[in-house]
Formats: sequence, C-alpha cells, structure tokens
Amino acid sequence: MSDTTYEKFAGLRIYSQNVYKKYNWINTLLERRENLSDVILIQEPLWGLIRYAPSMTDKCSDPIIGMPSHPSWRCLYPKPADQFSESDRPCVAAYVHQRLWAMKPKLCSDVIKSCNIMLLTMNGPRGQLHMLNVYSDSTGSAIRTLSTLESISSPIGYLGGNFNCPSEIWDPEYSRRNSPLAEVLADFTYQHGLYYRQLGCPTHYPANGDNPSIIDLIFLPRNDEESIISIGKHGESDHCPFFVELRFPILTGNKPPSIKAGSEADAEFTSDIMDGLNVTVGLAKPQSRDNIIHIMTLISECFVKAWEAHATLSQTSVRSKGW
Amino acid sequence: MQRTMKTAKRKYFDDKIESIADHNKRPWDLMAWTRARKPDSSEAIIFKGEPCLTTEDHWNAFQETFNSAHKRDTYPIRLMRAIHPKPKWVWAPFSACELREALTGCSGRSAPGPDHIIWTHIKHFCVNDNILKLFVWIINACFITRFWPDSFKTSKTMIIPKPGKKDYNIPKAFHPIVLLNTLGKLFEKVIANRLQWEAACFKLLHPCQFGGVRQNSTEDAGSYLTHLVRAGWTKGYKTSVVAFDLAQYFPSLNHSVITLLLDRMEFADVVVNFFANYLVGRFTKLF
Repeated sequence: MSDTTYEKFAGLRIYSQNVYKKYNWINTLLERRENLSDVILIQEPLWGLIRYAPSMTDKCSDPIIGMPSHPSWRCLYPKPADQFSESDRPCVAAYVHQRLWAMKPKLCSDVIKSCNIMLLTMNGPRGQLHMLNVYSDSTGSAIRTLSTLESISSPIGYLGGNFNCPSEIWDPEYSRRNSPLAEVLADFTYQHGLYYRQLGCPTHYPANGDNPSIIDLIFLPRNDEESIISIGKHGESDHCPFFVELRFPILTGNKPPSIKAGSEADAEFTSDIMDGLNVTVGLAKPQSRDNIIHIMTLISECFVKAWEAHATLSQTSVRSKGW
Repeated sequence: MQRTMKTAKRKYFDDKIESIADHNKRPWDLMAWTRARKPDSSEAIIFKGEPCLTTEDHWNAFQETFNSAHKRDTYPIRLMRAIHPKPKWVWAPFSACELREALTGCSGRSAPGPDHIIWTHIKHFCVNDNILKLFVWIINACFITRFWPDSFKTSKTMIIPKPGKKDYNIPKAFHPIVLLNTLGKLFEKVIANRLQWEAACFKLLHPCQFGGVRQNSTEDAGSYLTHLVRAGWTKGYKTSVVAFDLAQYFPSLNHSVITLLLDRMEFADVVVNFFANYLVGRFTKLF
C-alpha cells in the first residue's frame, strides 16, 4: 500500500476496498490505518462466527456472529434481520475512527435499507456529508436498487465501491464486455451530479488469473475538483484499495481529561479543593441570596481551578502501569 | 507496547479472577467478559419520519419523547378548592448529623456531574468540621432565602441505549440520564430524607404506598397482595389484580400542583417557597 503519499493530505481521508472476506486483512487494515485514515469503507466484509461465548442458557455456548472489531474504530453496517441468514449478510461496512465521534456518523437506513448499500452521513463544520458505499454482485442488484432511489435530502458527497459492472465508459482499454447496467449507473450518477474519476489502471486482479479490469469505481460531485484519489496495491485481497482525500473539513474530538481515582493527582485535587473551601468558610455569615451566589461562585471556581490543575489526558505508553 | 498492554491486561484479569474466587464468590461476574458485544447503535434515530443527524435533531426528538407532558394544561384550582389549608408545621434547620447520614449510602462509583466531583471527594471534604459547617450553612441558607443556586440546577444529560432492544432507531430505545453536581445531590438527599421523615411522622403517605418509601420494599408489596388474596379465599372470594403503569409520570408532574400540595399538606411556608424556586430554571447539556 502506498501509505506515504497519503499522509500529506488534509481533510477526510477515506480508504475503500473490497476485502474479499479476509478476516486477517481487515484486522491488518484496522491496525495499520489507525493514523492514516479516518473512514474505512469495505465491500464483502467477513460476516461470520467470531467465537463462542459461555452461555447462561445453552450448555453448548452461544455463537458470536459479526465482524472484526477494533477499539479505535466504530463499525457500522446494515443490520441483518437474521444474523444467521446468508441472504441477509451485510456486504458493505464502514469503520469510522473514534476520533471522529463528534461528527456523529450515522447510517440512514430510512433512505436505503439494503445489505449491499449503505448511506453513511457525517456532520462537519460545513454541513452534512452523505457517502454511499456500494457492493453490487454479478446480478447488479445494488445498481438496480440505486436506480429506484427516490431522493436524498442533501447532495451525495461520495459514491464508491465494487460495482462489478465492466464497461467501456470507465474502462475503454481493458473492458472485454459491456454490462447493460453501466448505462443505469451512469444515469444515476448524472442525475445526482456525480462524475467518475478516471484513474486509468485496473482495480481488480482476479485470483484465477483472468484479465484485470476496472470494476471498483469512485464518483465525486461534479464541482469537486480539489479532492484527490489515488490507488494502492491490493494486498491479500484481489481488489485494489482507493485512497480518497475529500475536501471536507473534519471535527475531531479528543477524550476528555480525567483524574485517576486514588492517584497522587486525585489526592492533590482533593487537597486543593479543601484549601479553597476552608477559605470560603469565613464568608458564610449573612444568609442572603447574594451571599449564597457569592459563596457558590467561589466554590465552583475552586472546583474548576483544581480540575484544570490536575486533570490530564490519559495516554497509554510503554511506561504505563498496570490497570 | 503490545507486550506492555498484554501484561497489564493479564495482571488485571488475574487479580479479578482471584478476587472473585477467594473473596466475593460471584463467578457470574465473569460473564460480562465473555458475552457478545452489543452492536453499535449506528442507525440514525427516526423521529416523526425524519432521521436525527445533528445534536439539535437529537435534542428535539428526546425532548418531545421524554417530556411530552411539558406545558400540558393542568387545573390546580380544582385541587385548591378540594383541599383546605391547615395550620403549618414548624420547620427545623438541617444539622451536620443529617448531612453525615445522607453520605453513608452513597456509591463511590456513580458518575459525576459537570463539576467532576464524586461522592468519595464529598466524603473526604465532610471529615473536615469547618467544611461540614459550610455545607450545613449553605443548605439552611437556601431554605431560608427560598433559593436553589444555578450550579445545582445545571446538569449534563447522557443518552444511554436500553439493553436488549431489537432496533435502536427510535428514541424510546434509549433513556436519558441526568448527571447533576454531586454537592447539590447531597443536599437533595438531605432534603428528601427530611421530607420523608416528616411525611411518615405526620402520616401523609398512604399505607399502600411502597415505592420510594423507607422500610417498605417490593417484598412488602408482595406480602400485602398475598395477604389480600388469602383473606379473600377464606371468605370464598376470588381476587383479580389490575396492574397499570403511568407513562411519563415524573415529567408529567405540574410544578404549581406540587407546591400547592406541599402547602395543603401542612408543610411550612419555607418548604413551599423553596420548592417553587427549586423546580424552575433548570439547564442541561446533551452529550
């Protein structure tokens, strides 16, 4: 993967790839792209048995079905009606980094409810960003669903994924056949003011040795000329990843500072407050509203000052002590 | 880095297992480690057919769901006519003992309010007699001046998903928790204890009131119901039970009705006037 070129970008950093149900590859991505991407959009994620958990009701233990998780990433996917059903298995998923929690990433299942398409919405300082992550199988079901989509309140800021829709429209050099659904997809993108970003190289290298093709596509708004797209190496999957830098300002939220209970800082925090309260004791004489307000203001200031003096952002390092 | 994390985790879990095996004998505490992680509530909440995507949308959805009784018309005049005023009881000021007693059952694990102070800190402060006197002065001054400071009216609201729901795209699948400043909560505990003592002392509570009353529990309610059923059997009767739940009970309480009830139930004017100020001017921030 060409990570080095990606780090210099600023804005919302998206990584998109068909991961071909590779558990280890998803785990590797989550670990390695922690500081390099803000959103990871994947197609054909692994959906299956993660492990067995001891059960209070079943002697044979309960199976845990789902997707790989990571503490730094929040996983969003179309929720299946039946987690054991193969037909309901989500074919798209998004991992949004926890630092973007302030952007309130949400799935708009009221607009599209499909296991092949997800509409991810995020709130930034310049408004909302709607992103469509699509996996269209060989029958083109997702493209058909898209074509029936009535309306989305705000413009789509990103449309991408694995469309399995070879066509000369986006692949004049490599395409051997034209999918009839290509026109449908082109119409949909035209109606929504999106245009295809030509990269000029294949995105899919079949494992069986067939000719490479362009079936992974990224569409961006027609007036968006600043966003940058590059393509990387496919790694364990047979689809190449896209690195997209959207010119969409992001909101990052740090973890709030804290004081560990029972620590030295906690003792100093308590001690500082007690000193402040002892000073206030002498002022508690006439019982009037003004005096109560004055004393409560002093107490609140005392709490705030002590908190600001001793609360710190906790970071795990090699010198960290045990829990 | 990974090795350090692994060692720290192993030590933590070993200590927990040892504690469970040797001390508290609660092996089911280990179940929390192995059960499936709950899926994230990633779907946008739908309220009135529209997805809630911003903080303002969430605020409106939760406000209208959980405070649906807000500004509902009430008719306190009927109540005023039905219950006639009686002579008032004398209100005694709060003591340091009442503050200490209120502190005894407080958990050190409850989440703090906007001031970050937890019960452990308050317990520590109250060891100092001067600070305890200051706290007693504040609560008594609040009652005499009929005033509840703004810092005790300011809270932060956390929205927590209710466990075991099938879908998390409706506001009712969540419940808000209001976190107030702990010092204010201490004073509220003291006031609640005193009000309950007076209510019990002057027999203001109905004998069938079990919830929220000291020395009365769910088991008492069960025993009482069993007694009624058995007493009916001896007389050859069959007993039917009608159970119902009042939705939105606490948000539905009308402030003027509360103060009027306190007034008619012979509480001192100090209490009535204090609550008139206590119930209004609240401010919260949604997280």
